[in-house]
Amino acid sequence: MTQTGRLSAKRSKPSYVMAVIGVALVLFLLGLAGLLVIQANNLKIHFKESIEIQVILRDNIRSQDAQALEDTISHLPFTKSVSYVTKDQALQNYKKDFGDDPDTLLQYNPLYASINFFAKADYVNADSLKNIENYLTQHDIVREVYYRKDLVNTLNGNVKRVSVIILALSVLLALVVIILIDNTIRLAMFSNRFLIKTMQMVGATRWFIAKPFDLRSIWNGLISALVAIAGLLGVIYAVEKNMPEFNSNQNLVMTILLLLCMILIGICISLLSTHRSVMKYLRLQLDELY
Amino acid sequence: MAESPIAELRNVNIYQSNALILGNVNLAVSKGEFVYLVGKTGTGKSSLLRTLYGDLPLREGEGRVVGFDLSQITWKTVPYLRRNLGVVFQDFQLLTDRNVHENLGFVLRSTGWKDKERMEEKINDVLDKVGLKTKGFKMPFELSGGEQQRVDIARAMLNSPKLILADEPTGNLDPETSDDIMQLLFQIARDYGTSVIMATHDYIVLQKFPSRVLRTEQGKVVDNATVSFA
Ligand SMILES: Nc1ncnc2c1ncn2[C@@H]1O[C@H](COP(=O)(O)OP(=O)(O)OP(=O)(O)O)[C@@H](O)[C@H]1O
Ligand SMILES: [Mg+2]
Repeated sequence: MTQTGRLSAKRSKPSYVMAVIGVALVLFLLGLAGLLVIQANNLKIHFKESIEIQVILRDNIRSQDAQALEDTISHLPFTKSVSYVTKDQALQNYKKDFGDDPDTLLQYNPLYASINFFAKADYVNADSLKNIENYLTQHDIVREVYYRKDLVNTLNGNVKRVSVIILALSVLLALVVIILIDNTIRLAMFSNRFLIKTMQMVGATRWFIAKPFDLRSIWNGLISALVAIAGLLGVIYAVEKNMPEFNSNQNLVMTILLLLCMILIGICISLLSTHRSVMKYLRLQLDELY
Repeated sequence: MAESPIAELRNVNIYQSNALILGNVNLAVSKGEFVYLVGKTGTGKSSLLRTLYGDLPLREGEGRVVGFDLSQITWKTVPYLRRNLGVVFQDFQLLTDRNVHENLGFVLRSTGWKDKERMEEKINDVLDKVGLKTKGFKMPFELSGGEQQRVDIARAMLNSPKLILADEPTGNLDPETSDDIMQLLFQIARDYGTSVIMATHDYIVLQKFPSRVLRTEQGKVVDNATVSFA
């Protein structure tokens, strides 16, 4: 018996780190899915209100007419924001986006002037947009109304689908983590086998032997949860900066509840899988673990 | 009518994996009795002892040890069986990272002792019984082989067992130190009425300290009662 309990506990530490990181990853994904569900409405609003509707104007119209239409649109109830893009500006944008100049090839500017606007989220559905389109095309100066119809149709299902995918991913990862923890426990129990053997021989109950492992796993679960929460707060911060509609304060209670759930789930995953493994290996002869 | 035996096996078959090691074992050990278990290597001495302390499940036959029915023992109840036993063996050594006193304290805590004062009392009591009253602060590596074995015996006595199961406790010791340990075990049996079952290879010990002998041979346990060794 050359090993001591203390020495070997130190040696098996790195694998606890892996387990902690694993649980943190699972929690982070779960948190992300939860956040998506909580913010589903805000996200939908964000995406809907970023679908651009282009009212493409005929050539050779007076700019007063165009501006008058822009003014009209800006006062309509469904409009969120509007901008007038002249033929020249359209050309500039095209050059910027595609890097070549249709002007030199064709000897004229093939692009149309347009009035571009974003609609309020409530109106971004196939029916309302169709009505808006019909209404606007009645104007003589309007050539056509264009927007990504495919986007509008898929948007509603997407948020739900993404959160389900993330949820499935995290369940899968959780299985991997349980295996990881199991391995860690096997290692830790093997390196503490003399200590455990002593306890078994003198009549310590399994629960008593499992206690230090369980306590440690509670700490590990807590640490994992804190790491995952830090990551999630980072995500919230970044998203809030780029998406003003995404307001975590608006769902503050739900968000806090989510974070508390993450702590609870972290401790549960860590504790339950650790306890299960300890009990499993106590049933075996410890010398036979390797 | 005598008291019921401390340990008793009836028509027991002992297996390792699926190989029958000892068949139709019958034995009874009464209070305060000292019993040797001898036999060639690999004949099943350790297997028999392991059956008695619930490390090998009793598959066939009946067994009672310190009031526990071995066939009813599960992982839930085996700790309570062991708390009424003292187990000593060659390769069940002290924890090397703590001193003698802490080794014994660890055992007490493991079996649910809480009261600091009573623990202290108990530790001093068993160290006194094995003649190591002043060595509690020593680390295991600071002790001689015989002293370490005494601490092992002290550990086995912590929960005031009615039965001590010893597997070659003198296996690693020189003859003089062996004598010491044997005297101690006999003294414990005599003074506290503790029964002892001790597996050994050491026929010199048997000659010097004669007592009842159980012999394992050819898959059987033979009770030589009081066979003498000439
Ligand atoms: N864990 C085990 N799994 C399978 N077979 C085992 C196991 N332990 C022991 N055996 C076998 O059981 C038989 C009895 O072994 P046991 O250790 O009881 O003998 P022993 O009389 O104590 O021997 P020794 O005097 O060498 O200590 C041996 O043939 C051994 O190979
Ligand atoms: Mg043996």
